[in-house]
Amino acid sequence: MGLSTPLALFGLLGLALPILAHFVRSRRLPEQSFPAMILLARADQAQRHRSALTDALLLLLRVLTIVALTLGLAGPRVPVTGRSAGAPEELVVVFDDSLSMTRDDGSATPVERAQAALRAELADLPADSQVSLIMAGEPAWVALPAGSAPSDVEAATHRRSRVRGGDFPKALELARRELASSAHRRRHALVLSDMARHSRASSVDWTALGVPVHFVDTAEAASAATNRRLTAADLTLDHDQASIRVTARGITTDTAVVVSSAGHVWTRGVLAAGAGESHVTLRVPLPEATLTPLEIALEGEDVIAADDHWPLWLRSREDVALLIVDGQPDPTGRRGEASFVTRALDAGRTVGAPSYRVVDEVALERLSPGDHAAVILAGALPTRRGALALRRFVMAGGGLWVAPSPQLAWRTSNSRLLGLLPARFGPARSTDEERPIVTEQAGLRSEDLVGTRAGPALTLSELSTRAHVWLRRGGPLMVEGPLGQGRVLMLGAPLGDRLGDLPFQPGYLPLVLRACERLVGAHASRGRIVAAGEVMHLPSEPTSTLRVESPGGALDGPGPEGRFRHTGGVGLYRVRDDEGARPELAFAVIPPHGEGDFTPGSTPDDISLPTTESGGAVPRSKPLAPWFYLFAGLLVAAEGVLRASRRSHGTRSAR
Amino acid sequence: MSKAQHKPGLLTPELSARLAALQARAAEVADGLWGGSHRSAKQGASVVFVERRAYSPGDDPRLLDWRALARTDKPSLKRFEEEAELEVQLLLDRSASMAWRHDHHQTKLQHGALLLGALAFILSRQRDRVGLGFVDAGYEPVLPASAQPGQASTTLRELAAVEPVEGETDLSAALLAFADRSRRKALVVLASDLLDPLGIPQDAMRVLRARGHELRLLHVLDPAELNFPFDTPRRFHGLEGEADVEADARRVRAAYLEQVTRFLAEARDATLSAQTSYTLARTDARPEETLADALMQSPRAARRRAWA
Repeated sequence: MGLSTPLALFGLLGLALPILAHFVRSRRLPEQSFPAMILLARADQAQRHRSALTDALLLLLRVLTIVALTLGLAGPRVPVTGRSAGAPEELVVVFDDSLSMTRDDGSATPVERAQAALRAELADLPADSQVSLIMAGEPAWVALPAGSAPSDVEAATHRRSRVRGGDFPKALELARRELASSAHRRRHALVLSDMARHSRASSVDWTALGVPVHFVDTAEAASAATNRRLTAADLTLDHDQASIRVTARGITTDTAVVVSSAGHVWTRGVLAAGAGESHVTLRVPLPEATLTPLEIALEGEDVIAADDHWPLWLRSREDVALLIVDGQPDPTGRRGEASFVTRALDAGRTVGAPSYRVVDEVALERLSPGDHAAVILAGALPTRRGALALRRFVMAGGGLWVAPSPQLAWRTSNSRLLGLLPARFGPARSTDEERPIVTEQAGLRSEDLVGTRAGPALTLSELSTRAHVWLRRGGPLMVEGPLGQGRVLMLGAPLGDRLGDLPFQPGYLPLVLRACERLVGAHASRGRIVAAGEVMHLPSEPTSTLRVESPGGALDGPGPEGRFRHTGGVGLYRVRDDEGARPELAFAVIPPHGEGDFTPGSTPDDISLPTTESGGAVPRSKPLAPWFYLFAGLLVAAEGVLRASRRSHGTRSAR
Repeated sequence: MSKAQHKPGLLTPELSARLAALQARAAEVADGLWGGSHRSAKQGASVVFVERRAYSPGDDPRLLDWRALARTDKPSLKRFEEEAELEVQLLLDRSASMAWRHDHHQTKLQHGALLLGALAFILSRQRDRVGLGFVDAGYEPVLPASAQPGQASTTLRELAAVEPVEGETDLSAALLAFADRSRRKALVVLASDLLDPLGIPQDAMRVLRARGHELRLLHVLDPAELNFPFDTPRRFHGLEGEADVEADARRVRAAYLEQVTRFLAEARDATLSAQTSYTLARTDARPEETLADALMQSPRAARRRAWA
């Protein structure tokens, strides 16, 4: 036991007072003559004998009272052992609520095990600790900010999205942000995840948090049940039917697959058991309706039901959204800007890349507004008539992407496309940089340029609009500008292997896809597909009154710049506005990529940091002063009772 | 034994004033008694009931009423006139403890003197023989018993002039000394507080009784001695050389009252066993009432109580 105010012990000197009062009775008393001294002497003797014990008890009570008060003032404290005795902590919890965490094989799900582990961690926290909660499903978000009470955490873990992939990089960033705003010096992190290989939790640099991190693998090796899952449904339209090539994984036994629409089964097939991917092609007749919802589903139940379904919009006519004007036709189809664009679009077929058609420069002269959603000049220079048609096309709402070839006559392009371009081409400049900078305001992301390298690029000057991609030393690389109802994209560098090596490194493929999507805009949303949890881009017209109907019937509007985030449910989404349905905007949400694969990944080792003076444990102690004060109060009460008893005994009458 | 501090025949102005006050008050008391408010008071101490009384062991067999014995077959004595001539000895305790008062106007000594003075008045009117003596550590006769006309006045003068005597009280020695000196049987009225360090003189009272004396005790006490009205710590000091006692009066009161109760009970028991009548004479009580109570308690009743 320690004392916070040891000087208060000098109060024990006050013990002398009751002791002196008890034993030193040389008081100056008033004199009183009294004749019956015989009787008084006997009475006094009897009374002293009787009160000797009472006087001794009173002395003891007074002494103990002074001792108790003195010790209480001295501030006695006893150390509290254990972690709970330490100073308050800030705990940031990264909770993996992706789809794979919900697998139900009859035992507790990884989510339930994560919640149990979290409860145990919270119970061990010192008093006054605070917690923040990051849900790591895509997109990662802050369920509880820093400074929240531990009692709020468990309830927050139940507010999970329906179906999500994992987003640990974003979760890490959010965790850093919450830790930075913490009020406590002692901080640490807890990561709860099934640590599946697809989550890439171990590939995230958790040391960037700057605090100790504890990882909990909530998956059980014994329950690594195989999960059947659909991974692709490629739709191809023929004259009178649609072919759907279904791809699945985890098919350990022959499994039936059904294609249905509005409860009506159109056709069935069987996925043969096998390691790796399983395929089956199913054919359905083309319906009369412009837009028909289809659902492809595996029969039977397994540990995760969400990835046993694949939604698909079936359209009566496959509109060509993109018109690619090839300025360098290559018989081999391997070189040239057009070939690289088509390869990117082909690769993005399964994720809703727009359909396309490749033509030569002369075909532009016959272009009319509404024929397509956008035009890509892939190393092409239209004729004057073609340029005029192009201008009309864009002004009416179409999209234009000018992708120069290495041989582009930039001066001629400037003059031929005068009035179309949001910037002017300039002389080529020599650059060689990795991963140009992307301004993430047009739906483009820096991840879209992973693995790219920009080579020599034309200068883009006299900008009348914003740039989406920048070279660190070379100025803008991609710009966009409005023109009438449409928009025009300009790329300063060829799409060829200067920006990446197809097909080995899909460096610019995402960039191409998103650029095409942006160009296509309102026209390109037909047949679009996003994974659950991802953002669907819808038109961001100023007067837009778009509402999205989810599979469950909920109606939500898109956010700023047409970003629709409520993609937590797998299924088909319809879009409508005040004037009615917008079938061209309908899209499908498919299961998150890779979540159905439970292959365990590596659990990172816990990260321990050296205990510093500022972050070390501050031993805590419990104050005992209140108990001493309580004891003193009881002693005072006891003394009062004893004195009252003695007084009442003295006032009794003998008669 | 200390000598009386009065000088018979020498009346100082103070003494004259005290005598006048005592005479007036004693007369008042006597009149109050004589006025018929207490029937038995008319009988007085020396007025003998003309009656037969039962024979008691020790009585003179020559006084037996043979006729009554033959008639009733019960021995009895005639009370002859010579019993009406039984002399009365008034004894006043003048020890130092008697000279105390708390809030009352009179000390115990004065009150005792008043009671005995009133008795002297009554007895002189009945032409009874009255004597006076003082007791303290011993016995000092003051006035031999006489029925002369001026006996009451002389008795009152002596009572008015009495002063307390220092030293310890020894009532037992005083009563025994009185018993040795008295030749004739007498009705002895003792006014005392009985605060004797040697205890209540029970044996001496028995001796008196055995020698034919009738003893009536007037137990004179101040109300403060009975109630102990003190409530603060004090140093109590005695009047007869006792050791001082420092006590918290409030704390010791209960025990003191127990002692008083026991003391009074002992006094009653002692007088009872000695066939002595007992009357508590509080100094705040009316003397008439005290004497009436005392006169109502006949020796016969005292004997009956004793034998009971």
